[in-house]
Amino acid sequence: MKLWKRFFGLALCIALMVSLAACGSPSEEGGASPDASPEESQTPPDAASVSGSEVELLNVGCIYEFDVESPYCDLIKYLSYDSFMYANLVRYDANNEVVPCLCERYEIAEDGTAVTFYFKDGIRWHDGEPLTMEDIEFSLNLWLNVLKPSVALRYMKDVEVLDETSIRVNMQSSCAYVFLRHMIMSSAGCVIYPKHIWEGVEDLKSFTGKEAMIGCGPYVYESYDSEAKIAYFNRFEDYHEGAPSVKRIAFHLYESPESVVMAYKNREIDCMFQYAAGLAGVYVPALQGLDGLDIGEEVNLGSPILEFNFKDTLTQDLELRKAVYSALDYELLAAANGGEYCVPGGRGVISPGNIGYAEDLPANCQDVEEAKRLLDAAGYTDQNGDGFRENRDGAEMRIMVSPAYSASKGTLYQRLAEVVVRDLQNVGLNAYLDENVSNSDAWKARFSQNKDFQIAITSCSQGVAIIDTVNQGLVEKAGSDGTLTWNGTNDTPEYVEIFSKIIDSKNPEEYAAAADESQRYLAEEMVAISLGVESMFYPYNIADYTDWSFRSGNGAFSYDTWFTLKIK
Amino acid sequence: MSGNHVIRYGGRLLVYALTIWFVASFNFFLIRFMPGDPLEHLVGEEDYLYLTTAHPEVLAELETAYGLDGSLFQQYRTYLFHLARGDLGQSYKNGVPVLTLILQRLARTFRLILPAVVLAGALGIVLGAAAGWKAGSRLDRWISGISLVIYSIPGYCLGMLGLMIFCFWLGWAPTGGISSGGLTGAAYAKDALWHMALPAGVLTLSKLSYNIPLMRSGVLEAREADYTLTARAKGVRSAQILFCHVLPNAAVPMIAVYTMQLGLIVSGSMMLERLFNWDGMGLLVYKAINGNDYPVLQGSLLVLTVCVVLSNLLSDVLCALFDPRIRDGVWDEG
Repeated sequence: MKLWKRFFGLALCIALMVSLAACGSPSEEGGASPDASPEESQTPPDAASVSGSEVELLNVGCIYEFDVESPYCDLIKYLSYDSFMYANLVRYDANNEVVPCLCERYEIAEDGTAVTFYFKDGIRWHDGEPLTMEDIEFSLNLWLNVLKPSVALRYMKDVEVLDETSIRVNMQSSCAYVFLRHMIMSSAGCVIYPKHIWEGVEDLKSFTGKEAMIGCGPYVYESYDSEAKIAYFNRFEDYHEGAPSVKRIAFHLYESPESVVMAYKNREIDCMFQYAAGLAGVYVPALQGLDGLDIGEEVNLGSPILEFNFKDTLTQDLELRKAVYSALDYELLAAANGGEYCVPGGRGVISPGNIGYAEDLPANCQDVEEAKRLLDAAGYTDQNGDGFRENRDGAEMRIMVSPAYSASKGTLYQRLAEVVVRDLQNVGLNAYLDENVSNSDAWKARFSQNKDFQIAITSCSQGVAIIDTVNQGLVEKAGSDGTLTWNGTNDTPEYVEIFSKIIDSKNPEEYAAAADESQRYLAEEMVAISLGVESMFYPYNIADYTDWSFRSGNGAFSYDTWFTLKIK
Repeated sequence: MSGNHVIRYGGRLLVYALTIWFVASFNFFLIRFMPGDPLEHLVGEEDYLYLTTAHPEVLAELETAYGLDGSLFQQYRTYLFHLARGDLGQSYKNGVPVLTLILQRLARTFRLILPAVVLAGALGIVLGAAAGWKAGSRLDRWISGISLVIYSIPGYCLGMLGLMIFCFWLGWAPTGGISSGGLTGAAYAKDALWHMALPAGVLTLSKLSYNIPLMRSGVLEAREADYTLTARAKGVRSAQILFCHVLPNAAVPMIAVYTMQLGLIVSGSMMLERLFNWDGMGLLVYKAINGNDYPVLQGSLLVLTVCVVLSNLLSDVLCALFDPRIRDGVWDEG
């Protein structure tokens, strides 16, 4: 008996010791500064804060990783789109129009083949060193030669330093304006690097640490507490556009949108930062009742789309495409996409809120009788009485609907594809779900390599929608020199010319006009169909703060907010 | 130790080594048959789509850089070669050595799961023994009933319930994370315990509900055994029968269960770690699967395999120590 008493006593002691030992040691990272107590980081500004004064600490929730201290870190990559720590040469304003950021101004050459950036004197890196044109040249050459041609870099040819305050970037064709739109949201690592730090670095990805986090944006990296999963940044007092009004920002990193919702409910965060992916409508009921929180509704500038393959003989037929358009139940598709927070898209495919959005084009609307009439008139009739229409020559007609493979949105595409199949069958089209694209390799082969799909259910991301419109994914080749290859299948000269106008536009007006023209073409020719316009939600604290600024499609945590936000 | 023992234990060690090699190889091939291309995660979905169409040569260069260009067999050979040198490689995602990542996450997972396993083990023995010894009593019905209810609830559901009750309704627990940050010493310890309480509590309950019926049935079986009847006939006191005859016999299967639970600590608890934002092994594996990060996935699964095999070994040794029949090979040899 004594033996067992000892055994139990020993077991309990071990359990207690393990718990204490595990919890008693201080954080080995010790990253956070001593003044970053949880109390401080989780409560709104104290009552003594003066109304209208600067914000001491803003708590921001996000679903990113902070795995390395480098421009390749997920969180830093997406923050760089807004020129947070690494300032970009230009940035997007509230309406996603290009405005100067690191540069004082820019000039696009008349023929659109070059853009010249002009800089103010006295811009400094976070370590106090002055920014030089060699830094810009070094960085853009790194993009070109080391980081490989991402979508943005395809436009660049070379870089020339003109003098101590200006630099010119020459283009492959006359696409300087769209290059500016693109360079803001380039791949990870496409930031402006301080040459004095990065010059000798051989492997960009392996260079990490505090030095790798030296930028010239409005915020300076302070530390990352890997246990608390909070990254701290302080404002850069010497920022060339003046110091921000938010002195310190703490990014709380979560694993799921559910955790973000919980953080809002517990008042751990004041707003959220998530590039092009706010909270979905399903979370709204959980947040709506919270005092002092605006749910921050934004329209997703991208959208799921139905894309026709112009290499396929059947879907090349405009009458068939129009019949497909009329057959679809857009209310159901919108509901399947985002419940009550999604509405049918417009006939011009591009979502509202985008530059050049054509408001006068009608919203998508189902008309089954019209679909049947169009098919009958086009000669697609049921000749053998099996309930499905045959080809004009009497041969069996089948339409394959391929949902895109996507780790994050695969189930949505699958759902939408099922609705499309059902609606097409309702008008006598023998549609079926493509079951051979259930992995990325099969989808890649079908959609990009072999291009042997008929109807694809995919999407235009918000980034693409902002940069150069949904057309990027639909057209095959475009650009003034005809060398730029795109992801789509449509090489109709008229369409190629319209998209070329978009990427060869020299200024916002030309871009908007070309975008408008493209929507009218899309509406007329049915190159693709929008499957819904969804709302996203970026809730923000209105109880303690005022003067939030917004960027269309990205919510309240914007570049402008860092400078305008005040205590209420 | 006799020659027979040497052969038996030597053979067992050989089986363990072969198991590790087999599982390491199986893991290598299995994850390469997972859908998805690691390059898609490396360059981003949009760039990947663009490069596939417009610049496949860039993707080919990247494949070479990440050792994904050779045949599967060549990749396997390289993997084994590196493994033999103790090199688990670097994460595709961030270039950090896999061993560094695993060790960091392992410490955090241990912090969460070790106390849970120990507590669930100790309480499982006590409550299971009480229920088994007083089988059919009100105490047994309560203990068995509650453990059955908890056992039937999946761990992550239990976690969500815990969050709802203790985090939102009562406000006693944080929403997740390992600590609040910026604290040291006693304040840190208090804060860490506060963060640990709910996830560790949920895990303890979850494992406890498994341990209780196991211990109960062991005690019940031992209580009906001939040696217990003999002890009773000899007039031995009840408590003495329980502690000297019933518990030692009922404990042997529990040793195997506990050591196996220790081995599985390494894998963490994927869903619970995600739910409680606990950056441990479970989350590491979860993210490696989602990101097709082969080196991290291979390394994590290998470490998991080694730990399970070692815990199996520990189980064999402990069972042999506690049970002379196993030590002498009576059970093995029929």
